[in-house]
Amino acid sequence: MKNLLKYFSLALVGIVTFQGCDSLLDTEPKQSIDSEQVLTNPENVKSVLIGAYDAIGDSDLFGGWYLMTSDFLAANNEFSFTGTFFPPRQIWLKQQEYDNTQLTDTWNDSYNAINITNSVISALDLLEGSEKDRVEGEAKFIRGVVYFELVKLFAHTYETGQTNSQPGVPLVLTPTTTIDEESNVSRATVEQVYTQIIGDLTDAKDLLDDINPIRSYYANSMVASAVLSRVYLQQGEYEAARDEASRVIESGNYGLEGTYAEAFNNTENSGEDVFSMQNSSQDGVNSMFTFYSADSRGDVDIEQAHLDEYEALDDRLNLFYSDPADGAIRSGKWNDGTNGNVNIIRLAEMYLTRAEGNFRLGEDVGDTPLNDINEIRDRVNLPLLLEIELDLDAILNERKLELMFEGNLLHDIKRTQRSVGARAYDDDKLVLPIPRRELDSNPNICQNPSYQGTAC
Amino acid sequence: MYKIIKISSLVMMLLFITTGLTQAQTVSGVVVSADDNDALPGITVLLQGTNKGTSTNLDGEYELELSTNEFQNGILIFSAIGFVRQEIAVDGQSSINVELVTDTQLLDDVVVVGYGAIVREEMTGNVASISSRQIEEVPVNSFESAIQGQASGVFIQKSNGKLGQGINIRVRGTSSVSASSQPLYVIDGIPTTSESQSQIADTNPLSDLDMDNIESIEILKDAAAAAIYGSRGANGVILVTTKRGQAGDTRINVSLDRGVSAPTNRVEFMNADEYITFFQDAAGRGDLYSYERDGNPYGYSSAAEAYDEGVAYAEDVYFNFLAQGTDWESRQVDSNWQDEAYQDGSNTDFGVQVSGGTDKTQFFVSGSFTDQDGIVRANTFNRLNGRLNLDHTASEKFKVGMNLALSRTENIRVSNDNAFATPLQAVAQPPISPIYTPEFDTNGDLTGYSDVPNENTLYYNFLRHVRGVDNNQTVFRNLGNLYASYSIMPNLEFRSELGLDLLFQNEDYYADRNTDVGENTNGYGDSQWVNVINYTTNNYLTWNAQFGADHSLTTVGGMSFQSSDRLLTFVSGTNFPTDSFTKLASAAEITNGSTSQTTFTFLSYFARSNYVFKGRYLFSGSARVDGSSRFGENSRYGFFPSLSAGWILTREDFLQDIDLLSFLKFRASYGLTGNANVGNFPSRSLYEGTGYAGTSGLIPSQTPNPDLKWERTTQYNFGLDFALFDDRISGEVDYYIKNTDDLLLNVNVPATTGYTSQLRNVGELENKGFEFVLNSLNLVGDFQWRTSFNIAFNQNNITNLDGQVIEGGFLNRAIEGEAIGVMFGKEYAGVDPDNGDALYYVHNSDGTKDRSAGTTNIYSSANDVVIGNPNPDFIGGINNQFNYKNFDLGVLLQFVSGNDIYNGGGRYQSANGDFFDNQTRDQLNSWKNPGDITDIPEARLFYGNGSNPSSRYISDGSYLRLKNVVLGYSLPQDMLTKLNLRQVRLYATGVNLLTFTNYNGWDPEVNTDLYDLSNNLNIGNDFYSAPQARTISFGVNIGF
Repeated sequence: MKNLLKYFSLALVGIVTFQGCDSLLDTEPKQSIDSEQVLTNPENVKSVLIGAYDAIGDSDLFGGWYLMTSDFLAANNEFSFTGTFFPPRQIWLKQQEYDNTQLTDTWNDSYNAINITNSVISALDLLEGSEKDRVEGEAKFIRGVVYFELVKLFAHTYETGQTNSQPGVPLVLTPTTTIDEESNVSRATVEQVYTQIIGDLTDAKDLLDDINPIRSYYANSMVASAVLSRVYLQQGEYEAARDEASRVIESGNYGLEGTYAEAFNNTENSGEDVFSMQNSSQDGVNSMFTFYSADSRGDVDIEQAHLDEYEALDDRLNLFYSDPADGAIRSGKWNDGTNGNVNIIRLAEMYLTRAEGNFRLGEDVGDTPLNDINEIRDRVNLPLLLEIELDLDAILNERKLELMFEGNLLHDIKRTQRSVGARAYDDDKLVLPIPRRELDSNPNICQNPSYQGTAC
Repeated sequence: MYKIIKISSLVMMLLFITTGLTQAQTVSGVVVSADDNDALPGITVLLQGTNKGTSTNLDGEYELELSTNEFQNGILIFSAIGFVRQEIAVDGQSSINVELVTDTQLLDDVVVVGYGAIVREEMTGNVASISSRQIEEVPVNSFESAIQGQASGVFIQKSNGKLGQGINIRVRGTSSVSASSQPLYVIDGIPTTSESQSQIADTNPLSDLDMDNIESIEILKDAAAAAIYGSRGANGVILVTTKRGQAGDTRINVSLDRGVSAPTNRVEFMNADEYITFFQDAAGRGDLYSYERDGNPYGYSSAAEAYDEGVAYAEDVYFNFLAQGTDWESRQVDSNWQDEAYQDGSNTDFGVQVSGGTDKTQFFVSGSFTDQDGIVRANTFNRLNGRLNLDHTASEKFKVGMNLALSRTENIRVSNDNAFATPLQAVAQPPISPIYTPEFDTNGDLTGYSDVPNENTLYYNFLRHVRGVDNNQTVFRNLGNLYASYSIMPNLEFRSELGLDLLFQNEDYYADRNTDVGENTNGYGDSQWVNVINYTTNNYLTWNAQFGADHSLTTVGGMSFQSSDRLLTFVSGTNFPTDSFTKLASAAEITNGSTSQTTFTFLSYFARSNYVFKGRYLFSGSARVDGSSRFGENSRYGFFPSLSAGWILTREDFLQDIDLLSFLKFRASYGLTGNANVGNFPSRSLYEGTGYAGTSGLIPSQTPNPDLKWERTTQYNFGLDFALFDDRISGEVDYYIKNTDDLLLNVNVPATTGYTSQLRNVGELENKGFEFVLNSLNLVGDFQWRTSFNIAFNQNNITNLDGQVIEGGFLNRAIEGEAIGVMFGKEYAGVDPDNGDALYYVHNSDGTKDRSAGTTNIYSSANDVVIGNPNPDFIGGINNQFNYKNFDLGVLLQFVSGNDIYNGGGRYQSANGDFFDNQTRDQLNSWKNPGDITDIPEARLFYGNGSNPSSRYISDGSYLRLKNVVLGYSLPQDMLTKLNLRQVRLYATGVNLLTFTNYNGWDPEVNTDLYDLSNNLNIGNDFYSAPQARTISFGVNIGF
């Protein structure tokens, strides 16, 4: 028995020393790093800012679905979504439910981008001087523009001259470190969200240089102004919108391309791109291409009713083409493969905004509305308008045709209180529902009218 | 009656020596096999009621010295694993020769358990075993086929009929929500990589195994059996033991099997005539609906105009395009696209095994290849295997050995179920579409078809993929282990094992210019290499002790360390000079490249004691401490104990006289097991790299949870084993309760945090059920008939989810108070006979069912309720084995009952003409006129009348299947002697010959590969999933 015990203990000692300690359990991830190591130095903060650009370039955001969601909601008889992919088809039919995966992804990914920008903003003290200004400006630009898209899609539209106390979207302005009861945020009012957006974008405009010193395609002061012009326009603040648009034009940093076609399908910013999402074979996906192009799914059929909107000589008609596969007419704006850039703001829009602002105000700041509109018409070989032909409808019609399939139509319809088919501008179905996943996981969030879930 | 069965002759020798010798009467003889008269070495010869015994040598000879009394009155017991034991009275004979019959009953088996083996009679846990005999009788070429229907309580579900595809295995139900519920696989003592490594649909790494090398498969089901694997035992443990050589003559086995296969079922779709008529009407009714009930958006002036315009639209825009110049009006083309999706399947399997050795060294060598063409177009699988198992006794105390298995598996794969390019999606193509490009003469008359697939189809023509895509997965697998054991003392052994499981997998993909993937980029190619380097060392002591006649104790204790490293390399490129160049070296543009690595480790200490008192009172306890790199600093180690007891009543005096009862044992067990099947760093707060326009960036990827710990399953098992009529009937009955708490749950969090989920220990679920196993020897003698029957009932219930809603699959959910993965959505209420609208039950907004709330034709007004349960109520199988002279017949029926299947493709396939997809023929019965009573709503093109997800697409997935029939003929002994052969068996098998089911899709054994199998909620879904294969094959086994 003694021997036995001796052998036992020998063997046990052997076993224990063989392994020693639990350091064998210390493994480190190779593709990730711990959060505590991240926001500790200027380089990393700047890297997280790049991450924020990547986040808004996501296919569910500016990679395509911010644009397509609003365009599909604005669709009447002028184009059809003929794909069998249900989530976008529901949106096109205005039959979207709160569990629609596409709008859920857009919601989720938007707040992902916001959390990243909040992380950057929380760590600005690690930076100094002009670099701090630049990083802060870009981060606030991204946060502002994302909130702007969210509030336009998920809340009833901003009503000019009223108290906009209708539910907007939750405003989260600090990075998430732990998830607890306090994470169950509720929806801010539309007014509060717009105030935040204008605050962020104005900071960005003031902090940033006119041309981004690092990369030309990152945000700069002019990009912030361009987005601000959209925000003010949405609010019906025509003077402010006009001034911001004019500022972009007057900067002289941008110029219209020679032809309409040259403005699209670029892998680098064209002369008239104020802001566009960069895609390459290495990163980013142009999901506009995925759904519009005959070379991909080719799910959006342009109907004759839309083509009839153009005047006969309009060069913009030449960008449409017939799908060799099924003969359907397709828009040629998104035909450059998944690696092509996604135009977000073109200079043409600034002319149209300035023209509209000046026209409504009866002013000529920068240039006359007629000249600005004719700037657009001239490029597409259309006869120049005469003073007598210029009215608000002409300006809005020009705006629609120039910016078609670029994600503006729904918002323009809403702010001008026009309709989509039989649906009024404030129709409940022209607003997306808060996703079911969010309602299920946050008891403090309420639902938009007409959708399933606890109403606000 | 006091039976003693010993695990090894070594122990016997020992006991023999310790009792000492006092007398000098000698009995001797030779033990041979009754089957073939071969000498049997290693047979235990024991004098009943004593420890006196010996074992036979290489020539089957034994010699035993007995006292005078023993020589006259003693009884010798001849026993060994796999043979029916014989008791022979010595009766003064000095020479006793014995023929031992191969055992057909399981009770006397030795069962492999973790870190050792145990006599089944003395087992207190629940283990299902598949013996090599069962595997040999029913030739199968996949691992799961050997278990399906044969092991009670083990549910096996293949994804679809593609070769090498992933499988779901559930041992006693699903015991987790977010962590994987697949069991742990241990091959010859070494935990094995069993997770899919593919970048597309899951594959099954167990398909690298050669079934001919497997000696036994044991499935550890209850905690008493599985707790020795601690943190990874909760889903059950599957132990695979490979064959080893035996001392004696060299034996050679050669086997060849060839077969053909076809799909088990086809679904009926419309032909061209039906399609045209149906869609003309659907288009007319669509526009009529728009005119009458949807605000007349197209401005029609009359109902007739609306209808006619609709028909004209279908004809002008769709039919003319789809027909591609052929005359659809005369039904010139009537394509059967479903036929195109299949090919004639076939298989060839060839294997050679050589085994033998001396009493010092034994070997087992085998080599095999298998070559299979699947039933799905362009799907093939082939595999080469080699194995060497070697055992060497260096001295009485020291043994060493190794196992080495090499394999190469090549699987030419087809696209996932959700891709247009997957063959089965061809059923969506209209029958008026030509399959190949039509050719016309100068008059425009159709002259025939080119051999180029028609590119102008409603959906991408998958034949372009068949021609233009190489999708080739090659796996090199090296499973090896070395062991050494040393007898420190006669009853104390130290064993050390080092195992290495290397998996090298290459997925090589090329899509040429004629495919949708490569057409815009002058070809597209990618290559993904995955290396999984998984090593394990086990070091443990085994102590066998016998104290007097009444106490026997076996104790195992030791440690184990496992480390697994996964390295991945991916490269993709475009712009190839021509389609002759398919490797990335020729790609002008490398579009993506990536490498990654991830690691996990387990450090464990374990111990187990089995104590047998008076041969009938059984006690067992085990414990394991597991540490894992996967868990948070605060709870890195888990403790997993188990306790069990058994009572063999038939060894009690009071049951001695009941002859009909030959064996009766009660057992009970309790224990804790864990589940650690989660990602490698789930507890940490992480950032990962990204990039924008060529500049690198960082993004947060995970929130921290430092308290993250093991999911724990507490399992109770109560069982009874019995045998009647001299073991003619035997069986097992088990009742178990498995409670899992601290569920590893991917909890939904508000997306406004920037995250959508966090892994937390939240919630509880329960599995409970009954298992019955019944084996009977119905007829003995010349005509022998054996039946094995098993049935298992399991009930799964999620008892607590802390209010979380977890979604998966199409409609699957985890909901408190329901079974895991129930389908949650709208309940279809049929068709309004007045207007043809699809109706849904409104029910209550809190998710409770209340049909009295009425129906609605507005989909969104209906509340979601539980509309289906994908978990079967019971599963099982019946195997009948008949032997008559040299013929043998095996018939295995397998059944699954009570599970629902949601056909995610139903909304396209059977959508009463919502879109131009060809429809199942039953849609012809759609609503036409007021008063029509039908389940199929009015066909309204583009109006989605009833095509939204609902219980309309759920059907009962129960089935009873004639899984396997084998008819064999063995050459008689005299002929074999003439031919100088040991054994020749010719056989024919049929797999999946008949299926009885009400499922209205292709095949009820389905779980689409569109969803990841590691997510437990992704169950019971069909989506253009290929049916299983029905195979008929012929084979021969020859033994030299």
